[in-house]
Amino acid sequence: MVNRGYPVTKKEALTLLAAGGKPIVAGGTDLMVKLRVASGVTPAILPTAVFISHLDELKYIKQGAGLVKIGALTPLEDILGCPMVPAVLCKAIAETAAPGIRHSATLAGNLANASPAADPTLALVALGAKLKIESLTKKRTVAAGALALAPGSTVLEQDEMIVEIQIPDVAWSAWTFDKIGGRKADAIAKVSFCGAVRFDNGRIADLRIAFGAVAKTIIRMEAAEAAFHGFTAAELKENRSRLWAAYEPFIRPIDDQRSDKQYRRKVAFHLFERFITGL
Amino acid sequence: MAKIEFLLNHAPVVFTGDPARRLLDVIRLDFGLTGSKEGCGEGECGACSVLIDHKVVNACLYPIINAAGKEVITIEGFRTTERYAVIERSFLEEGAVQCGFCTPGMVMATESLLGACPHPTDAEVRIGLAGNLCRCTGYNMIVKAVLRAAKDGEGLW
Amino acid sequence: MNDIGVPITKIDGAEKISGRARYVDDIQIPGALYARTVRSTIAKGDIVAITLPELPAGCFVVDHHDIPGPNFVKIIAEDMPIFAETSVRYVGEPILLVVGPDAKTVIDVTRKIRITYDEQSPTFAWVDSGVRHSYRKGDPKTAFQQAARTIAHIYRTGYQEQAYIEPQGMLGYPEADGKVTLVGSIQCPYYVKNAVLSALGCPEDKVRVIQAEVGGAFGGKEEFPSLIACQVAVAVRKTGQPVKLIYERGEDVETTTKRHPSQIVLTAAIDADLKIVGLKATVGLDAGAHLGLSGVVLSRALIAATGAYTIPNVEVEGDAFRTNTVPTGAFRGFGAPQMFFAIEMFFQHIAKDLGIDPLAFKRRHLAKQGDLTSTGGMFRDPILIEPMIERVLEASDFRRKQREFKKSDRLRGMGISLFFHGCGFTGSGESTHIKGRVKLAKSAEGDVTILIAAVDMGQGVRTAMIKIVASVLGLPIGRIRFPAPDTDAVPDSGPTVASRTTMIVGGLCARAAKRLKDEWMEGRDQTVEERYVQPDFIEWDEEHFQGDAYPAYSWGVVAVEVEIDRSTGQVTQNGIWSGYDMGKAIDERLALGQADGGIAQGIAYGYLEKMEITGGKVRQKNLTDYLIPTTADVCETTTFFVDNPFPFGPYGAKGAGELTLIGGAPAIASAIENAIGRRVYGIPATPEMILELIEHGEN
Repeated sequence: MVNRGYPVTKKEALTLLAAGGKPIVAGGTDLMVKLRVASGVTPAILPTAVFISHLDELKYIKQGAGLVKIGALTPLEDILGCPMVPAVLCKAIAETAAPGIRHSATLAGNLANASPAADPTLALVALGAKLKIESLTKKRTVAAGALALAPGSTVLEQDEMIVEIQIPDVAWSAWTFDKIGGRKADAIAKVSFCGAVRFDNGRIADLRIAFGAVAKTIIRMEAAEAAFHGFTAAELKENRSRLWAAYEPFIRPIDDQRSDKQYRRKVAFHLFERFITGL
Repeated sequence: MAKIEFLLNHAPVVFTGDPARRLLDVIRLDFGLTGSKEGCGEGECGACSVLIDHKVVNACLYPIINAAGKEVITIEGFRTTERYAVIERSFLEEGAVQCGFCTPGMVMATESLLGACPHPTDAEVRIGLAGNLCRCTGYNMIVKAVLRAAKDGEGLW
Repeated sequence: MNDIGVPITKIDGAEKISGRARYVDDIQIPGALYARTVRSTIAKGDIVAITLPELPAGCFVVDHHDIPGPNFVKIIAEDMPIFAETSVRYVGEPILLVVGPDAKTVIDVTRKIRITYDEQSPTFAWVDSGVRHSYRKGDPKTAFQQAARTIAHIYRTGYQEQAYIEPQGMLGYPEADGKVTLVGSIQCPYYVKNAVLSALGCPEDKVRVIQAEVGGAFGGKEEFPSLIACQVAVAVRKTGQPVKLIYERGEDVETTTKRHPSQIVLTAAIDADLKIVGLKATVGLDAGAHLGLSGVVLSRALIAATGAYTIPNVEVEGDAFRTNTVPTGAFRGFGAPQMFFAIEMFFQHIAKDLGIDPLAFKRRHLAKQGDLTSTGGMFRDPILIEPMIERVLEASDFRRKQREFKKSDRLRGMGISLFFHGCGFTGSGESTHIKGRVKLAKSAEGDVTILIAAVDMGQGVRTAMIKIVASVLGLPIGRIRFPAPDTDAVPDSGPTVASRTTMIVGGLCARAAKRLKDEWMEGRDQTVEERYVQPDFIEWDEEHFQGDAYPAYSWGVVAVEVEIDRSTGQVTQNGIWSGYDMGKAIDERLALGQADGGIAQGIAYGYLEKMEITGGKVRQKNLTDYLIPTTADVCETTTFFVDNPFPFGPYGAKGAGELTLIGGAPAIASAIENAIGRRVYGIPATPEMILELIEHGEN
């Protein structure tokens, strides 16, 4: 079946996974660095790897039934240029790496890498994206926010892969995507924030607040968001400390080579304040 | 082991080997094309930039298997074109090259940018080249060179 | 006749743009062995045992046992071993090389090597002084006794990594009769040759050094390559085969020399007229585990202690401290960037302490032609810094913006820095240490070849030298050649450092060309040689740091406009305006390239580039974590040059290479300070520091 060394259909890929194939390599922009050995030496990718970048059937952007559906292997740069795609996600992608990476990198790879500092993933979590995950025998849907367990670890079974990302099409009244990197391009987030709100007759119908790079996973508290449905902007501003209090215990940044915990915590708060008070 | 066929600088080639081998190593070591450079090996500096189906990618983290069926162009393949001639002239006239190590990568990123966006603004040029680090020039003369190439090469992109 | 400053097409431009230029890793020699360094994993201790695995066919281990000569790298202080012998002094110190037929085999071997240490307690505090210098001018004791007021502040600067885009690399191969040839990414072919001669203990004609195309250096390839050249030469001797050693980026960032961190304590004695009459400076530099050139970096920093100003009474002292961290070394500016950050911020802070406008305060003290320098030498040549300040103020709309920004709620600020760079080696270095020589060889057909050891690392030496020689000879550019320096073919014109190349080596080339022109014989091969002769007005007392430290000074002014994001502390540059007096730009486009590139590095030193070493380990160990500017991080620059011809430089040229970096950090630090209304005492002024200052800093 696969005598050319790589799958060209989803079925071929899933069959390889069912036979124990791992890891999954899409664009390779994370794995080829993580597993780097040296110049001139092949990275330490297992011989059982399944290379899925040729699955053209998973490269698409469609709209329908109130959803934007993105094939899991669509390169990031293609998503960036597409008017169908929610602006929040486009902004997140624009802040990610640089063109050379974005021409190879995929949402599937970004999600599966499970870094809390990942920009597209933060947008997908905030937007309530759903991930269609398939194995040869099973299909399921997982919320983007429920995929990552810890840095580098997800709920994906060894024989599963993400095939599609579905994002509800929402006309946001206001939104922000703030990625705070060490420089203005080509940097990993020290702290990031995604906020979005939809007002219906002056009252909150939908509110999203999510933070990246301040904990082991991206932080979003849906119950806390829902508690403010029906509030006006003024009422939200007045009571925002309660909203913050729901998030605060989970905002547990670390000191690392990029920044320190005080800065990350402070800036997370500032970005939250700036969004809410600006409504 | 995998057998991978692709176009390299317009010629069909076959690679037989580990599918995870870095495209940069295949280019430099197997094909002797040393115009693409290794500056960091982690997709940060862009000195390894090549074109895959006319789009710039970092060859240092591109597994060779992903190149199957694609058109790979390195600086050696691009430098015979009229577009390259316009870019070269602009870079020379604007003083955009000093040590030259980042330059082939900058050229490939320029070609990718102008191919997608033939009349970029200053800001769009900076975004297009954001993945190419230069330590010598401070970038402004490179940005001017790209804007000039877009103007002088009107109609080519 | 054409002004020499008018740009010509860069001689090596097309070759570089097209990817044809060959850097050391592009050179493939069949059968060359791959080399990999095995390093200390601890900061300090004794090596107890090294257990080697069984070596596969064709693999060798090269260590201190294989060094024929003494086990140190011939740089200034002879304290850096080629391979660690019985003890290690920093994380990453080279212990041995494994060389073998291919990368994978060699790396597998390195992974199986076991080294056991008797670990000792490392020193990171600045307590072990390796070099100390001090000097005095006038009568500082009395000045301080009689001062109406004294003001003191402490300033700190961090590491800076050169981050040349081409990592370090060296290729060595054996030639007939035991000769070893080295081809490398280097700034100083003769430094490398002399270091290898010492390591191999061999006659002068048994070592040859050739410069490959160099992908950026900035001082990082001044002395460091001598270490890897010695290692590779020893490996070539041992194996009898070619050996190639190319550093991985992470290895380069973690283990090669970088800019000395500093702590500078400045105290000013101020008289009743609010003029600084006395200055005390105490300077500390972190030299890392081995001193290398640190004594010279310290010297340059100390000489710059009074900045662009004349202060009659001065007491300066400084130490380069040994710590168990990666050795620091040469980086564009060489001690001056640290000092100018401190002195420029000090003047700004004193002015604020006294309630005076900082720029007005600085201008009251500016050095003038005829003034005595910090070391009691003299500024013999005109100093055009006043008109340069005016021009920068006008171009940047400085005063109006200062007023406007004060009234605004946004965090915006203007900053300005005034600075110089001493051109060339300190004092009599050119005549006592370097003794540079140049040669021009004319063929019978009338082509002229420039034979000098000066390295083009991107700054445009090839183009500048060819221009000078062509211009003096009255020949077209195409008739002049400048091949890559090869020690078998070129005399030692000195190292490509210290902003000496255009002024000194170019000056020698111009003299040689003049003589060749005068002595020109049609249809005959001719060679002309020139040696450096020190102008006799330069008198320097090395022991007491008295006299003329430099033959010439280049001057600069930089203004920067920033806005700070109050929520995140992030800095956006909205404008950079700078003016430089380098005597005469030999090529205005090359000079602009130096200006743009230098200012980007200098500004980034001030706010962006951060390297922390904790427990002896570098935390930002690759280009992902050690952040240098991208296209998105720099803004438009407006630059002008003023002509101020130096009588002893070719066409009046002085030093250019380092000057343009010096002003960046103090200008942006000053702008950030003015934007946030809080004092900045250390760089890099990162967003973390900025938010901390906004909350808890001094007004």
